[in-house]
Amino acid sequence: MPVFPDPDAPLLPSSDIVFKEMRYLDKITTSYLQMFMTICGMLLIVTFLPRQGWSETRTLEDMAGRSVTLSGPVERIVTTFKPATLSVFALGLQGKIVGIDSSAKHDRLFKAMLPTVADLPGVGTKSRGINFETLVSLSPDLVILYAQKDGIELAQRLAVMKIPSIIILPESFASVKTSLQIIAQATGVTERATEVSTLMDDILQKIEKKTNRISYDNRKTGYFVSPRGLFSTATGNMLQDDMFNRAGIINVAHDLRGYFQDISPEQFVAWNPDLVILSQHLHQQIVKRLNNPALKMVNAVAQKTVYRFPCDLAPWDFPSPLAVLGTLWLAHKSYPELFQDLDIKKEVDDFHFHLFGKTLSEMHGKLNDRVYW
Amino acid sequence: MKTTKPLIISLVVILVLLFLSLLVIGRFEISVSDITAMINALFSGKAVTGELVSKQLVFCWIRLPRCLMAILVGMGLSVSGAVYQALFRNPLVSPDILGVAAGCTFGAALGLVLPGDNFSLIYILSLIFGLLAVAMTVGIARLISVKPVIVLVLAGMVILSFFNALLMVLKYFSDPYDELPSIVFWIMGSLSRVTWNDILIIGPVVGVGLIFFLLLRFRLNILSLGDVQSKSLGINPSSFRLILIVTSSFIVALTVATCGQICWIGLIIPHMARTLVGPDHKRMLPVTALLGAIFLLAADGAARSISAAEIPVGIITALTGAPVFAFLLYKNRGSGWV
Repeated sequence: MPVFPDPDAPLLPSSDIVFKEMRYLDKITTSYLQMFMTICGMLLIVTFLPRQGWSETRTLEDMAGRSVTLSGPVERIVTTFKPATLSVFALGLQGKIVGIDSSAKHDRLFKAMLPTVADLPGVGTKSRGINFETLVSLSPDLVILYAQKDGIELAQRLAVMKIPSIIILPESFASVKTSLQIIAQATGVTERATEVSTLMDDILQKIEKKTNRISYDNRKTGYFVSPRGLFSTATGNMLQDDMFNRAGIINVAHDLRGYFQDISPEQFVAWNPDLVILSQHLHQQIVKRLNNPALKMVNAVAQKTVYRFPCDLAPWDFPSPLAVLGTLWLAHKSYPELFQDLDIKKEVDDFHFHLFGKTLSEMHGKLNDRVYW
Repeated sequence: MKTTKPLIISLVVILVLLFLSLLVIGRFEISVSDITAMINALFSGKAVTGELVSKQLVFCWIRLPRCLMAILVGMGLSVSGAVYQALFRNPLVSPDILGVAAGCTFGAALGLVLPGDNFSLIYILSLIFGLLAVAMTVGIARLISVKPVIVLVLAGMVILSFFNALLMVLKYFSDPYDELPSIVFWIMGSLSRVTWNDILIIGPVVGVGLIFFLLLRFRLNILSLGDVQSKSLGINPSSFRLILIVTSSFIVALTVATCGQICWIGLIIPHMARTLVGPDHKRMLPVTALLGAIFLLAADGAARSISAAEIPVGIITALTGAPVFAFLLYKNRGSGWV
């Protein structure tokens, strides 16, 4: 058993051994490098890719209080009512829509943004019902549903089919922003939702900076005419009440609760509003009822301060980011002396540009608030 | 023979008192002294001033026509119901059995969807389709001409379903944010749309219709015995039935065109009258008319006065009518009228 080093052994390793060692070290280094690169890559994926909405399993709570789990990217969206469609367009996700509420197919704003919108499959509407088979046949990654009527039931049925759905309930500016955030969380565009919320807040702050100066006693009273008819109005639970309030107008029907409520013509006269604001959707024939001599003594009718929400491209009296423009127009129309420095057309164009990438004029939209009766 | 005079006088007194009290009840404050001042001004030829101007306008252009219309529609629908029940010898028949209401509603919805601003288009189309529905029902029944009464009711069901289907088609293709809400609002019965023009149209028709029915009350009694008995008593049932159907349908069509569908009046009021004075149309028809007027006047008064939001009158008529009808069914069990 040798105790000492072999005297015949070479003092230096042969070149073969050196090369072998070097290859071995190189191999180890390359492996570590590869491993390091892989870890860095994974870290990058973990850090950035979930924000693009494709890989992470995420759980969120929708506005019906349901816990919704989504895994994988959201590439196929179906909307079932107009406020949801408007929100999806505002978030720039229109390219991912594979099915749309049928009423939105011929909407001028959506056509201007997405010329192929009319070719998209219509899944029905909230008021007329959703065709469940059409909805499922589109294999959506995400369905955006309403909270009223059969919305929750549809969500439960979709869950059985392993189709994720979220329920939104935009009925005030706060809930419009929450709706945007929930859709954004589901689709991975939270930054865009924050941008849109900031855009909305900027306009609202601009309005409230001026209208907050009006004391309660000096505020004008207003009556909103719903699309149902002249004697159907928005209650204190509705977005229109929020819009009136921020525009410095007291909604005469603020104390009523629920959705659109019918009132008697006598109540309308008793309220005697300074302004009557018609929904953009109100049928023109119904306005003729203002010719009743008893209604002519109502302040707004007598002073001809009866206006219709003005945009012919999309409704501004509707739960969507565009409602801030409705509020701006309301404030401008009610207190022109406070908003003398405001170029409403420019504000509208700017907002549309930031929201949709095109100005209202570029989308051939016009503003007209005149009402004839 | 039991006299109905005291009952009729009592009902007239109740109707007048209710009418007068409802003239001072509503969301807009108008007191008895305001009305006295208005009447004084009217007779003295002086113009009213101050707050009284607005009160006078509300009183004359909103409240008074609405109360009058409630009386007219209540009378019209209840008497039409009584006539239908006699003609079809069926206590469960109501004025919309021949598809009149369905036709009217479809016409009104069509008027709302069609382009143009002419408000009377809704009214005219409603009336035209209401009468067209009756014509189609009667036409089908005459074409078949076997067991005319049953066939007429069946034909009415066919036309009712047909116009309901057309209405659904119209609702399906209408814009859910623009046209659909106004259609739904129109269908829901309400007297809030009433104007003096409506009174001027419906007033004479209901008035003449009621007189006509009262004149034919003996023939109604005979017709309710059946065709064989009618013929043996010298009456041509077909022609009388046609005249009575067209008249009552015309009244129903006009009321639906103005106020939408108001349920229960045409069904339960004749039964209430029959319970009070028996089946003889001579006594029953005036009682039916008065009870119908009182019932709708009270229901509409509650609908417009209880809260700031107007309660749909259909809810009140159904909520009060259904228990009354159930009670009548119980009270008259075994009496042969059901």
